[in-house]
Formats: sequence, C-alpha cells, structure tokens
Amino acid sequence: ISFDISEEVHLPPNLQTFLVSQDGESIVRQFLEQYFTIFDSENRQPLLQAYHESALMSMTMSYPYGQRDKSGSWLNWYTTDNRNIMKVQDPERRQRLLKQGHVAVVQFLQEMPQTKHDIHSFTVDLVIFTPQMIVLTVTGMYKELKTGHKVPPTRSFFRTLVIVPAGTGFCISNETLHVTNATEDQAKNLFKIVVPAVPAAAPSAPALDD
Amino acid sequence: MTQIVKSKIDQACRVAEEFTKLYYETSDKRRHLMSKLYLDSGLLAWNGNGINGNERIQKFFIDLPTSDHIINTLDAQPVLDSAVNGQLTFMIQVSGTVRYQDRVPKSFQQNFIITAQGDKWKIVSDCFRLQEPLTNNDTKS
Repeated sequence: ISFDISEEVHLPPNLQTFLVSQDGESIVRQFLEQYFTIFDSENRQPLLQAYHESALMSMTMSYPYGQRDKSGSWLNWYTTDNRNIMKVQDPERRQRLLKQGHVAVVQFLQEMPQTKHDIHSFTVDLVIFTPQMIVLTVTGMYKELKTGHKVPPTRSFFRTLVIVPAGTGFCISNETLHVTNATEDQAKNLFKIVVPAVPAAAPSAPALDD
Repeated sequence: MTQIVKSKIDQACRVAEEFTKLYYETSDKRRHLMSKLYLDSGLLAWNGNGINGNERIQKFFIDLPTSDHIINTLDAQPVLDSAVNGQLTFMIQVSGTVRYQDRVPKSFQQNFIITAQGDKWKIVSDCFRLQEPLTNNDTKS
C-alpha cells in the first residue's frame, strides 16, 4: 500500500507550433521560408534588407546536457562571439559583443559557417502579433558545412526575432540566437519529416535532399 | 542618441541578471507567486502550449512536476523603440538544464520579453522549449 500523492506528474506534450494569432500564420511562414533560403545560400548579404537599420543581434552557445564526446562537434567557431553575460562581466565587452546596426549584423551572419537548415525540424512560437510588433521564436536543426569537420556537425538552435513593420513589409529589429549541438535523439530525425511542417502547409523551399 | 542606446544595453544586462535569478527561484521554490512576474495579459508558450493571462499561467506552473533549473547562458538587449514606442522593454535569452521531479535533466532554452510597468518589471511573453525530438513526448528518460 502506498500514498496517494506520490503519483507521477506528467509534463504537457511538446507541440510543434504555437500561434497567438492565426492571422500571423502566412506572414510567419513566408518570412521563415525567405529568411532561411537566403541564410543557407552562399551569399547572406541580401539579408541586409531583412534588418532594421539600427537592429541589434547577439549570440550565445553551450553544449547540451550530458554530451561527453564533443570531439566530432566542437562549437569552437561560436565561442568568440558568445555573449554569455554570466561570464562576460565587463560592460565594454558586453557592448562590443552585441552587433549594432544592420551592417554589423549581416557581416556577422556572413561570417557564420555555411549551413543547411532542416525546415521540417522547426518549431515555431508566435508569442506577440500586433500591428506594431511581432515576436517569433524558431528552434530547429541545421547541418554545418565546410568547416573542416570530418562529418558535418548537426547543430540545434533557438532563435528569437522581434519584427517591426517597414514600408510595405517587415524588418527585424532585435534578434537573439542560441547555438548548441543536437542531442543524439534529435539528430536521428534530421532531414526526416516527422510531423507536418511549420505551420500547416508544407513550405517548398529549401530543398532537403543531401 | 548613441549614449542612450549604450546605457539601455547596460541596463538590460543588469535587469536580466536580477530577473532570471528571481524567475527561476520562484518557479522552483515559490510557484504560488509566479503570476506576479507576468502582466495580467502576459503569455507563456511552454513547449508549444500557449497559456494566456497571469492567473492561468500561475495554475499551469502549479500543475507542473517540481523543477530544478540551472542556468548556463544569459543574454539581453533593449528592444528598439520603433517596436515598443519608447516603452522600456528588454529581450532576455536563457539556456540551461532543468530537472523535473526525479527525471534525467534536459537542456532547455527560453526567451522573455519584459517591460516596465510603473516601478515593476513584468513579463509580456515567455517562450520555453525543452531541447528534445518533436516526437518524443513526455518521456522519463
């Protein structure tokens, strides 16, 4: 005989998409398709138009819990610009590690390793959707290409964008990016469609064949 | 102008340090106070589950298994005025590990938009994601 309150409490299921407003769906889908198609191309310079003139962007990195063998997937490239303010205490360095203005942002994006994102691995959370401001978090996996690893490493990312209206379209005013390695469990699903893609209708680009 | 941005960046970092300390202490040890951290109309997106309003968010937290968060990285920036009309607003990015009840810890990432309401910081939106495969719902491992 045991006690009634010792039963296990379950976590809510993990859902691929949350949209605070259904009206945001097509804008979000279009934006992500366009953004990551350019991001995965040889030239990320056209992203300049996607950012506000005074845009702010920063990146942090860490290894996932319990990953012991990092040898095939060191995150060395990401350490230089890791704006982890728990470690970076100096206010001047905190300023410098924040990319300020669209030119600085895109220059940094341009320097990042070549990537191939798996759009079917994406989760999307649209948490704010008003005429003045859209806030969107995307997570997912990408393969890192041409960085001298024997096997291209599989990274997992968490990216939040603040998007504002600009002219007839939109631009990004703030962005934070977190990069880590995919766990073994995650990586098993890379470039395999597990559930219908983000959100509802499947985006056609980018091509997912290796 | 540049000086204003500079001081806002410094402030965003300091507020983020205080805020995250309080947020994770409260969610691990004093969940009945969670609603005080959010705007009345605040939003939580927890692994894709959307919860609207601070009262419902409070209930959601109380129903979660007990948690223990460890923070690995923290980052913060001021949200540009063009998005928030001059209303002082910060974006905060966190990564770390969380252990629910006696399960194996998992990596998580989280993003907050917080804004000044009177003399208090309040959460406008809170987006939490466990780092796990999409099909792997609520497993014990």
